[in-house]
Amino acid sequence: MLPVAILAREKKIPNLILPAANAAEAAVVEGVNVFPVSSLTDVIDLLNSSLLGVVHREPFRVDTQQLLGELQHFLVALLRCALSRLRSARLKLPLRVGTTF
Amino acid sequence: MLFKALSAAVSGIDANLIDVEVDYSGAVTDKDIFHTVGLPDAAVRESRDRVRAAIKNSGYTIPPTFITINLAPADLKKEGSGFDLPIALGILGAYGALRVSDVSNFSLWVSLGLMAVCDRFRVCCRWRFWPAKRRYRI
Repeated sequence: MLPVAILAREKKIPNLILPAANAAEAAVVEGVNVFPVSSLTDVIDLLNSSLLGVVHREPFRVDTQQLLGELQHFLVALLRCALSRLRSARLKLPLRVGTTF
Repeated sequence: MLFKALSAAVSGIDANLIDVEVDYSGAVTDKDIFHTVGLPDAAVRESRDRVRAAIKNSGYTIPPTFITINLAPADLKKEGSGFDLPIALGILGAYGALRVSDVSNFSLWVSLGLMAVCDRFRVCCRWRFWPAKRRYRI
């Protein structure tokens, strides 16, 4: 869904209609309003309610900052893992396999 | 009458904008005859049966006639079931079931089931972040 959302943003198409299960993936792309739908009648309602080009429904949003925060957490954990391995190697400590941090 | 909706053809990680144009002839036939042109693959060609059932199960009846579906640009291969919804909307719009005549500010990429319920796609980009609360093992 990501390529479709990027294409919509490039081609200046403001709205994107996707299945509800796939909306989160496309909503990562900023600048496109993603509208998750669950059935054909849902789409017809959405289109009929947007007579003058204004959609009367809240677009689906994803908190990209939170996703980046999770990535940052992962990188910090990786760094701590590498440092602890380095320290145990320098102090000739036996490698603690299976420890968690 | 002609109705146009926008969709996208995904090939790899690239996507191309596709115009789905639907036209019907007024001639009444004993069963509806679909023509899908514009290099559709088998999944796109099969969508006529899904679309017919989805429209019927949404409470609309369309009289049987010739329906021509053009997927432009015609030289680009169209794959997958994402064209179900633009085709269904094109048919409904061509018959005048929609109150809007221009949906060019919407891009549609939805697969339909027989009960007119939107199916999910498999994720095409497998980018996952690790969950934040996980304890990492060395």
